[in-house]
Amino acid sequence: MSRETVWFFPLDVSMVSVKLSAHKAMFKAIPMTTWLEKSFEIYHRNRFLLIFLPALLIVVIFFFIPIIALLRVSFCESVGMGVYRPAFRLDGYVKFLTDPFYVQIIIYTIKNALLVTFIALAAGYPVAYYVARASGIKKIICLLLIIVPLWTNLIVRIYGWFVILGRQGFINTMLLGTGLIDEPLSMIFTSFSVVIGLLDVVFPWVLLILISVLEGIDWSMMEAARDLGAGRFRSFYEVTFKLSIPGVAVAGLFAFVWSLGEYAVPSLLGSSAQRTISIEVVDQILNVLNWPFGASIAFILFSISVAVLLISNRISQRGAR
Amino acid sequence: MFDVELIRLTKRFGDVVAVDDISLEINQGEFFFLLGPSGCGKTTALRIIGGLENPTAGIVKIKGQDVTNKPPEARDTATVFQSWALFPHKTIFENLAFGLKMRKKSRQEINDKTYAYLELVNLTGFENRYPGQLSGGQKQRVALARALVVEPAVLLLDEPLSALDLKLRQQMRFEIRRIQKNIHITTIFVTHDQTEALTMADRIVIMNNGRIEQIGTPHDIYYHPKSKFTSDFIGETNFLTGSVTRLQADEIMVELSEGTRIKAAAARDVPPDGNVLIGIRPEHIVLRRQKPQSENNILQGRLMDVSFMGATRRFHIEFGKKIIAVDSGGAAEHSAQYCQGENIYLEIEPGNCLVFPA
Repeated sequence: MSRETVWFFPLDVSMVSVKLSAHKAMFKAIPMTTWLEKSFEIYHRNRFLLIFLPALLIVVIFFFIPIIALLRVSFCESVGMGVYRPAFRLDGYVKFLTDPFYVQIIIYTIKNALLVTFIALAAGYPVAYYVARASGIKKIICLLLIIVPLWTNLIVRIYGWFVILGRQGFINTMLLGTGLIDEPLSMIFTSFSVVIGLLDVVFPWVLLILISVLEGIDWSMMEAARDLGAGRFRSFYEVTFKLSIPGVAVAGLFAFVWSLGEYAVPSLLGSSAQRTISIEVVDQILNVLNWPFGASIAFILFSISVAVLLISNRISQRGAR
Repeated sequence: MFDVELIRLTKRFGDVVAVDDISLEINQGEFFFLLGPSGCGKTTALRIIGGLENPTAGIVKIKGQDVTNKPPEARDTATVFQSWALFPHKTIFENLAFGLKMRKKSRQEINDKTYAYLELVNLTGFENRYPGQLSGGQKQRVALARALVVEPAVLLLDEPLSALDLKLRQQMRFEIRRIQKNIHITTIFVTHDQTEALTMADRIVIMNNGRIEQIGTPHDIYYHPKSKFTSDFIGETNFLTGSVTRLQADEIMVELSEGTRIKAAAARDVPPDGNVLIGIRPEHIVLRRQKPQSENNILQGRLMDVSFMGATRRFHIEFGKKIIAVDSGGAAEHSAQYCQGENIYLEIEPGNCLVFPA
């Protein structure tokens, strides 16, 4: 066979070729056009692709087709009240990327996502390091503490922050009670509460990714570094940290993309004056009823996520030596 | 002055005593082995010397200097780890240069030494590869070179050959020994493989349950084991129980529980109750078809089976309720045809009967 494709799932190739020749012999017995024989062979060689079919169908039907539909709508011309007609217009894109009002929304959203990503990584790394090095019951308890909150519905967790951060919430009551402040702090409905809420969403996942990465790094390499004369910090930096960079990139990507697109947290915990991209999308489509503009914004959000994905992929690959 | 000195070293992990009050002195340039079954504390002892573990009690001295409380980076030791622990994100050159860089050597010196030690382990030309691109044997040599390049006072090896296949292991034994003698570096090698220890060591310490069983040259340990444990662990030994019937200056008479009397030379520490174990190596027994007329010990048994082992043959002889293993390799023995169940005599020199307290 001239061109052999190697699939990554276990499969006995020799079996297939034996079977193939048997089939061929069978088909040779009856007269057959060469193209039929050829197409049969192509099917036979690639029939493992059938395994991917269900997953492929789901992705195509529920992801690619809607994305393409969205892209098409974003070029249409709005005539108001949710009606639009086919056209090829870039109005929505230009407006969102140039109008200072919308540019400020983009900047605010990205700034928030970056802040969340940075805090999640900086605070998560030491915790993940501790959990990865822990063993036995200690580790199980730590992992449960990380995972159990995920079993609670997000909306419930967000309302939990109302109780903690509200004007008459837990923190304000405590601070007023001890006399540290005279007036309640306004923490809820600010970008502070949005960042807290986003951290609540992404932090467990960031931790789980970092833990699995740090667990995979052989502890004896750090000992080897110290044995060769590197101090405590230097050996951590030279070995563990450098080896964990691809994992940190993945965790960071995860935190950033999720924070960027998150709708529930900023809409419930944020102030109505500071909108994020996702809030603007929902607003345009559900309230203003300008579908093409909403679609344009959604597509811009999607593009930012894809761009970040590609960059992070680059970092992971460079790090994965 | 000794290069390495351990004084009453003890290490406990909770209730478990890993190293139990051991004292050792290792000379400059010596190839020293810590040998024992898994869990005997040999690796822990090595890690304490390297500073990777803190002892519960005791003192570690390197070149006469007390380093007990010094971290690994401040000790003049370098370790070859069991898993080799090469840095996968660094090239072979960077792996070797790491220790020199940490010691703040000049770029020129780092270059010179790295290439010199790559040559020593026959890996010239591999400097730009990554560990993932090397075979097991090559990785092993990189790990060795990475430890040697910093020119430590003491080289520590923690079962470095256990991940290699037999042929490669035999080759690396020879190679490590050659390099060790070449640069005359004090070396401590941890292993559970007695062949490794017997073939490479200048001196061996046998460890069991965190304690030292015996220290000596390979020859000493093999031919004059001081305890039943050592004699059982190094090589193979047939054990027969008996009680002393006569005690002389250089010889004792023992009545075996099977009824036969045998002589054993040079009795040590015969316990007051007179119950002893007689240890006999399989290769120290000579098989006879006719009862020999000799001053040596003669035991009578029945041949159970013979197995071919290449250079030698292994005979299993039924003696009372015991099975005695006999190794025989002579050409005459090889051509002789034995029948299963045939009566056979075992001739043993009294000097080859080891006596241990029962």
